[in-house]
Amino acid sequence: MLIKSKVLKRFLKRKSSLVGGIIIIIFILVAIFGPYLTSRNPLDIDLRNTYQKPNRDNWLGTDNLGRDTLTRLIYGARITLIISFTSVFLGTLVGLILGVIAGYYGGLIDNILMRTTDILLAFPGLLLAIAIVAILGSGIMNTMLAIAFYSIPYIARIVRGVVISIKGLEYIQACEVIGCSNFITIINHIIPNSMSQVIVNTTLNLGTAILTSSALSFLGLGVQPPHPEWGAMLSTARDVMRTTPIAALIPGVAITLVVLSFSLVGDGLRDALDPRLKNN
Amino acid sequence: MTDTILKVRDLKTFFQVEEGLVVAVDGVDFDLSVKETLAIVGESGSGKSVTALSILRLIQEPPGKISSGEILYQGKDLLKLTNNAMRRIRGNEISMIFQEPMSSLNPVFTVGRQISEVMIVHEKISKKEAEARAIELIKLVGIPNPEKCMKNYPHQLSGGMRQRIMIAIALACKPKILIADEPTTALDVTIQSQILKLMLDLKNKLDTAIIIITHDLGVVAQLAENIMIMYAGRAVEFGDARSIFKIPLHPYTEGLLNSIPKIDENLKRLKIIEGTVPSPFDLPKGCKFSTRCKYIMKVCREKEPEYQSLKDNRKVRCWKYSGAEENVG
Amino acid sequence: MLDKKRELLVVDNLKMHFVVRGEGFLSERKYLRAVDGISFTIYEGEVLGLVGESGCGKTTTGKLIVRLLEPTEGKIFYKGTDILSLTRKQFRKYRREIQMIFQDPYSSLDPRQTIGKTIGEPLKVNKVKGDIDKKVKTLMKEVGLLEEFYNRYPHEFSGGQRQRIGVARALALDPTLIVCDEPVSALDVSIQAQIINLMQDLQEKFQLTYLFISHDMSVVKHMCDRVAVMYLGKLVELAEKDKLFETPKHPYTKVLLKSIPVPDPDKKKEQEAAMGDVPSSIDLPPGCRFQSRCKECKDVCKFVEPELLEIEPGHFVRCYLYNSK
Repeated sequence: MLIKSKVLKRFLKRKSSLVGGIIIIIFILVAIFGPYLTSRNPLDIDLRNTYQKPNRDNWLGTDNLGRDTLTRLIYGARITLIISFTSVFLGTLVGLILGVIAGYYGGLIDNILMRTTDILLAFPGLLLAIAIVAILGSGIMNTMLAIAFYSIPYIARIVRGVVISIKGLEYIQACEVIGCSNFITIINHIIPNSMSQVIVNTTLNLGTAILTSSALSFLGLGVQPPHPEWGAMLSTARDVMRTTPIAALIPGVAITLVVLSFSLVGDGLRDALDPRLKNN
Repeated sequence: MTDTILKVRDLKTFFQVEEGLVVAVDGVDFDLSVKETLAIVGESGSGKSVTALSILRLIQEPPGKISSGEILYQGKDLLKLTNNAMRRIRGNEISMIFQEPMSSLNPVFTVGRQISEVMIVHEKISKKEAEARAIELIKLVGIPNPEKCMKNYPHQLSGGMRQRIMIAIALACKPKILIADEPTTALDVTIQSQILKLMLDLKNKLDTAIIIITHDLGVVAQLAENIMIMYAGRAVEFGDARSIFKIPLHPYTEGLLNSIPKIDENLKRLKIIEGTVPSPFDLPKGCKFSTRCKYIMKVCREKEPEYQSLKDNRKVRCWKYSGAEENVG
Repeated sequence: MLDKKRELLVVDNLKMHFVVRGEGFLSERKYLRAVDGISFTIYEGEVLGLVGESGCGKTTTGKLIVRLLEPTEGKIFYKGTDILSLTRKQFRKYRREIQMIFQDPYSSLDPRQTIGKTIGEPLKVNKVKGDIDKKVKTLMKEVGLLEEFYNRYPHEFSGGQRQRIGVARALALDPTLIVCDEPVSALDVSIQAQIINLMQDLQEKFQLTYLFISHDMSVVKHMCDRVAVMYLGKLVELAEKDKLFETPKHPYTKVLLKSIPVPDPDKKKEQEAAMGDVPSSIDLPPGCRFQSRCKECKDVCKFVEPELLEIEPGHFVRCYLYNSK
């Protein structure tokens, strides 16, 4: 596939995106193989060893209950990964379907769907997520649903715009002339051609999703203790910011690094896939 | 010749793109005399527009670069001028009109302001004087009610009107050379003929030399005195319009003339040039037209012919005319 | 001779009005009369040219015939059947017989589909029996594409080759009528000739009927048997090619023919340009549409629009100059 190798080449040319990509790969590997990297249990409490600074036993120190920060960070990556990927996948899927329907059919359906997204977009994303969790109750499952739900309107809007621009092209008219049904036109032509936009926005959304899930947990609405989640870890460490700043610093840096990496990769993908730069 | 105003010698312009190096113009030579109308004819990718942009040094660098050659305007080499000196020439002594008049005009200023601005910048005259001259110019390009037109914004005008305004702007500082890049391609036939008529009138009225760049042989025949044909970045033939249309020398020119349907002829089938223009990344080794030429000889595939002068001030880049026939293979 | 020909497609008083918004906030709805009551017949096996300048409604007419647009008013009969009254399902079997070749070889091909898939798609979606691969390869050969292009993507091809792909796709379903919407105007001169020849060969070989939409009079003259001239949504003249080009009747047709720059420096003509610009087809004044640019405009032209009359057998003109007949 000539197109794909070209995109890859262009992507790799951008150093910042490459670094972001490497960080994300490490993040994913750590999340998957976490249990093999550490023999400890993230929930093991050791009250004799609370608030340790980094030392030989606890490379990144311990928290208020003496649990090993590194272990919790590794297991936290797992939860973060599961929450962000699942919720973004769900949100993108629904957003894609709604966006395609609105963009392709237009008219009344489009109006209804887009006015609904307008209403949803009027709320700040986090506020919406908080409201949903407040209704559904906290927990991993509900956090995922909340994040998925609030990313739907964003994706739907973007997809709709892309679909409208593709719909005007002659090859879609050609589909109609040769007798393709709407369903085939959408599946075979509209969706594949809007995919690059969807991929870029999904990547950018992953960063936002991680941020939101951390924020929810930080506020005590997301993942509940004792599960190790980065936002929750940050929240716990907040009380001892003055005395043991490292405890807050570590999950904070982890969140920042991963979110930033997703942003960089998203930007890199956008440039690599941008059709305006293609063929020129 | 003493009245030569522009001399282009061995111009070479390339673009560094992701896929590799594109030599868009490679070895273009021509002279332009005062008041002459020269047509540069070629298909897309032949390098005709890049030639024009190179003359005005409007090639964006990077990815583009004018790598060698000379562009002598009244004896001075434009390629050696500073950017500031070049800016004084552009729009003032050499000006240009483009194919798409809408994108060349600024949508947020009135037409009057855009015309007068050129003169204020280049000739440092007062606003009042500039506006008076702008009205004259609008009259010159055949727009009725010029005072009203001055106050219009580009979007209020039709395509033909916009192109007239572009011509007015280009002529504002009484340039010595006007370069017109496909000036009528975006227009409808009836409007095109209006603009052609206007250009013919202006040509007789003003002392401006015109370089018209086009792929439309009809337009060329109506307007040009001399013609340069380009193919794959090379000038392949030069001559006066009449002889080129009567006795085309280069096989490409011949093919091009044969392949257009003519309104006053009844042919059952068109004679075509086989094949397609070679990709700029994959140019043939010898003559660039060798992949499509029906007179191909052995030497054509091996060595690129020189751009040689023949009698009657004609030039051609083809082995057929260099006594190379003994190499027929 | 005309009556011997079989009518293939009859267009009857076809109208397509688009709603456009007025300038003010609460202003009235305005209509753009892209196609405003045109009627003509396409006979089996002929090439009917439809010419006019941009905005005259020729492309819209083409799209109405292949049912890419639903008209505001009017009827289209294909082999005697009123195809506009059919449901989508009923129309399916006619759809295969009326195909289209598009103008822009770049946007008319899906960039993510291989050539083989693109050409094979009509066969697949219409569940044509037999070896699709083999059929696609035959089609590719027919339009002058090499078999090894089968798995390549459109971006690897030049405009001319892309247009060949578009032609092959239109041919795949063995159509009877092909609406060709400016099929060569986006192509380079030397490539135009190749595609024109290809289309003529295919017409002969498969006994196709073309509705050939173009703004290029020279190409139309070369390709077509009869020519219809459109101006601002209406037909102004329709005649056999030779009649139209040798003895044009309507002032607009005359202007159109005079405007073509002839590629011969010895036939430099005094460029006799039409006056003024094409008016917008929103808010047309009453009377003849060409009045603002016509040199022979009379009083009556400003009030009542002339009818399209048959002034000689097969020669229709919409102009008061020929009304006495």
